[in-house]
Amino acid sequence: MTTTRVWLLALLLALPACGHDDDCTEGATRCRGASADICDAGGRWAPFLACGELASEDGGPFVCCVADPAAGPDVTCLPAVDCEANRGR
Amino acid sequence: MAADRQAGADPTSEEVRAFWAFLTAHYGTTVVDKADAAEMALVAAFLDRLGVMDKARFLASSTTTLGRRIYIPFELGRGQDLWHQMVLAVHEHQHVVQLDRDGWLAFTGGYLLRTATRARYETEAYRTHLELHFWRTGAMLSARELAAKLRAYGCSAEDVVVAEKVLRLSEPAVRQGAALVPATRVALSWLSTRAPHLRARAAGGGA
Repeated sequence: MTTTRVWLLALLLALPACGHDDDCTEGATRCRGASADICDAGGRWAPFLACGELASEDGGPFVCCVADPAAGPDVTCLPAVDCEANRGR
Repeated sequence: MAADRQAGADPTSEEVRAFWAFLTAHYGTTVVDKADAAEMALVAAFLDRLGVMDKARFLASSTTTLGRRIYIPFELGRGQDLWHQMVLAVHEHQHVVQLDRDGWLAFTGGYLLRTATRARYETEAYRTHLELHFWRTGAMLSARELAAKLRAYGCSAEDVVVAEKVLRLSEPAVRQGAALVPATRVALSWLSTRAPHLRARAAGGGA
C-alpha cells in the first residue's frame, strides 16, 4: 500500500514535465503551426488558441500571426485576411 | 459597441434548468447539491491544505467539478443572477472537456500540483465568460478583472499576468464571433436556437 502511494506520488510529480519542449521567457508568445502558444509563469510553452479550429461569423478561416505589429511581437489568431493586411504594415 | 445594442432579456428559471439539462445530457455529467455532498468537506480540506482554495470559500461559493459530477452551491433557476448560473454551466463543462482531452492523470495532476497549469485550465474556462458575455451584450469583459479571479485558486501573481495576456489576445477572435472554447460552441448551439432573445439586439433591430 505504501509502495503504491510512493509510486503514485512520483508519477504525479513527474507529470508537469510531460510535453515540455524547451524553456522560455514568461509571457512570450509564438506561432507553432496553427497554434498560438504562450510561455506560462513556470517557463514552459503551452498552446492558448488553436487557430485551425476557429471560424469567424462569415465563415472565414483564422491563422496565427502578430496581433498588432505596431504594439509588439505578440501573436494571436486572426482572420487570414487580417493577418495578410498586418504583414503589409 | 454595447451602447449600440438593446439589452437582451433575462433568462427564466425554466431556461436555466433547460440549459443545464442540455449540457449535462451532452457531456454525460451529473449535477449534485454541494451542501448535501459529504465528499465535498474532504475535498475542501484537501484543497485548503494544498493552498489551492480557502476551505470556507470553496464550500460556500465555489462550483466544483470532479470527474463528471458538478457540485453546485445554489439551487438551479433560483437566485439573483440567473445568467451567471448559465455561464457557470459552461465554465464547469469546459473542465469536463479538459478532463476528456488531457486524461484524468494529466488534468488532475497538473491542476493540483502546478499553479501555471492550473492557471491555464482556469483561464480557458474563464474564456467562456468572455465569449458568452460578448454573445449576450456585444461588449467585452475586462481581461484584468477576469484574470484576477485566478488569485482565489492559489495561482501566483505571475500566473495572473499570463492569464490576463491570454484573455486580451483572445479578444480579437471573440470580436469576430469565433467561439474559441469547445464548451462555448456547444452552449451557443443551444442558446442561438432555444434562447436567442437573451442576446442583445442591435439598436437598428438586427441580431
